[in-house]
Amino acid sequence: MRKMKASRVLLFAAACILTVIYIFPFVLTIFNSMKTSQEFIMNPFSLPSAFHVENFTQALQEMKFFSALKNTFILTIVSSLLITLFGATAAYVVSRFSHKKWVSALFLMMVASMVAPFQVYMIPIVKIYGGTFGLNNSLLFLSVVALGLNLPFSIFLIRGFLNGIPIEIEQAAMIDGCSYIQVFFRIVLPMLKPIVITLLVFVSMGIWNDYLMSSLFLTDEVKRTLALTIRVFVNEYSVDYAPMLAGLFLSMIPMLIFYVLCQKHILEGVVQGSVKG
Amino acid sequence: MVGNKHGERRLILLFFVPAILVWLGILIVPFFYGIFISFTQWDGLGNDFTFVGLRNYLTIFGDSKFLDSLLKTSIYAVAVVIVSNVIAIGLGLLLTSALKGKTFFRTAMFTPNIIGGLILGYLWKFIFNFGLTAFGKSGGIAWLEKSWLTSSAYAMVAMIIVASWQLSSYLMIIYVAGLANVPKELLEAAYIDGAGKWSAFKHVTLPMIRSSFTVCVFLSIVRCFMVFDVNLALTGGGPFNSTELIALKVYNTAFTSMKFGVAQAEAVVLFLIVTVISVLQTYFSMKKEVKA
Repeated sequence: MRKMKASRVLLFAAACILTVIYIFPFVLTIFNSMKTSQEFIMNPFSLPSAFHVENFTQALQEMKFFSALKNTFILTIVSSLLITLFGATAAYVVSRFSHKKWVSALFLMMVASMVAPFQVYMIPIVKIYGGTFGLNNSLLFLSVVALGLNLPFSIFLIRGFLNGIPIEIEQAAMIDGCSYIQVFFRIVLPMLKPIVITLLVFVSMGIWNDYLMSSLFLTDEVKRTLALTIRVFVNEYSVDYAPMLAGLFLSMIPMLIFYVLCQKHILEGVVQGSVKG
Repeated sequence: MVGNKHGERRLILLFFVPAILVWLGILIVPFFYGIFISFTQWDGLGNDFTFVGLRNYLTIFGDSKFLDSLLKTSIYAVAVVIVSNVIAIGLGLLLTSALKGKTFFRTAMFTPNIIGGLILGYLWKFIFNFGLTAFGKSGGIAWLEKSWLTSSAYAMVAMIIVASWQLSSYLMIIYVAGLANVPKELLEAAYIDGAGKWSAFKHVTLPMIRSSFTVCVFLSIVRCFMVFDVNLALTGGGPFNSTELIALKVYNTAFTSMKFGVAQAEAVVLFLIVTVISVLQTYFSMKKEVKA
């Protein structure tokens, strides 16, 4: 019995140490964001002697923080909603009309296109839409790009869920005279709630944090998202750490809040998302 | 339910065609246009390009920097895949054991995956430039006194550490899900039969989480070949291009050197590598299913 207890204490201690390893960079950033440069160069591990608010005011200003926050919200919300809407409707067709060869064939091609890295689309997308059509600095268009990049995965995920729902309820509704579209909105969509929430949370996290795709399209300062603005503290030769640490802290806050609120769905999304290969 | 009685055509038109159009517009057309770009010389200014056939591909396979980047990405991938999977399995075992507060620990440990790669890169840059050096100076540890990011060999180690730190806590979630499905009776039976902890793990647990293992190994390989944000923020590819991994190399060829044809050829090579990895994954998971 005592041996059992000792091993549990050991497990608990190990878990504590490991947790510290995974969160110490964040804690360190938060502490040092309140210090002056001299102070954190002297000792980055000490607690801040005073709260230097000027780091934060400088960061807020240089990053155009609230404008960036607004842009990030617009991009994330519009694209996540588009992804869910297009994903759910298309998945319904793919799932219920899988007997149609052309539907299944298109679906398989979509799944195949899921594995390609963004790098292979990057230059042509920029050339066609940024260059030829001049759609730079449009958050709305960027949402459509995000939609395209995330669509195959969302159809794949929702289709998997739909295939597990028996079709009999829908058939009964159709005998009562409902059309497919009515059946979708009245019966299918409400049942999709759990998978749609998981998808929304998972996808919006990726878009909120996206750097590469956004950096190619959002060149105008006033259109920048949070992930892009942190670069204002970096130039070719040096990094201005004192305000940047404050900026890093500020940029992390929305995601940390989101994580506390939606942790269950995020972790669920990781497990669901891992089957995509 | 035959024919168009319930608005089948309308359904397909409203529900399926829009998705197909977006897919074609954002992925398929650019993909084939990209293949075309890789056969042209295009400096990015205006629409002036000339068809050069396979020359871009010959160029990149004669370019020591590109080959070097491929080699470095492979070394990085091998290290990160091994380190992060070993740690993740360990974490998975810990978090499915008789531990109090599992949910809290799991949630806290996953935090690195909530924050964007660029932010993580800069956080760690600060730690390598100020944290570890301060630690080294105060403790008189010579190999920590100078920032790792200024040395070619250590900068790569720094990349591997940060990637493993982040990826291990991601994979941990998948392993926890897999380990939770291992029936307790099976392990108990093994213990009754006199199996030790290690042999029970090797002969019971490990075979039971094989599908999680396959998923995690391939997911981590693909992640390694596509790493960009952390690379850009932490080392920027430096010092002296020593940590310029393949995705960053493609980006720099395109948007720094403005050689779009060559960059697209590099991107196509990256695409082929990732495709081969994915085909291998499908092959391995199918093979396993047949056996099971």
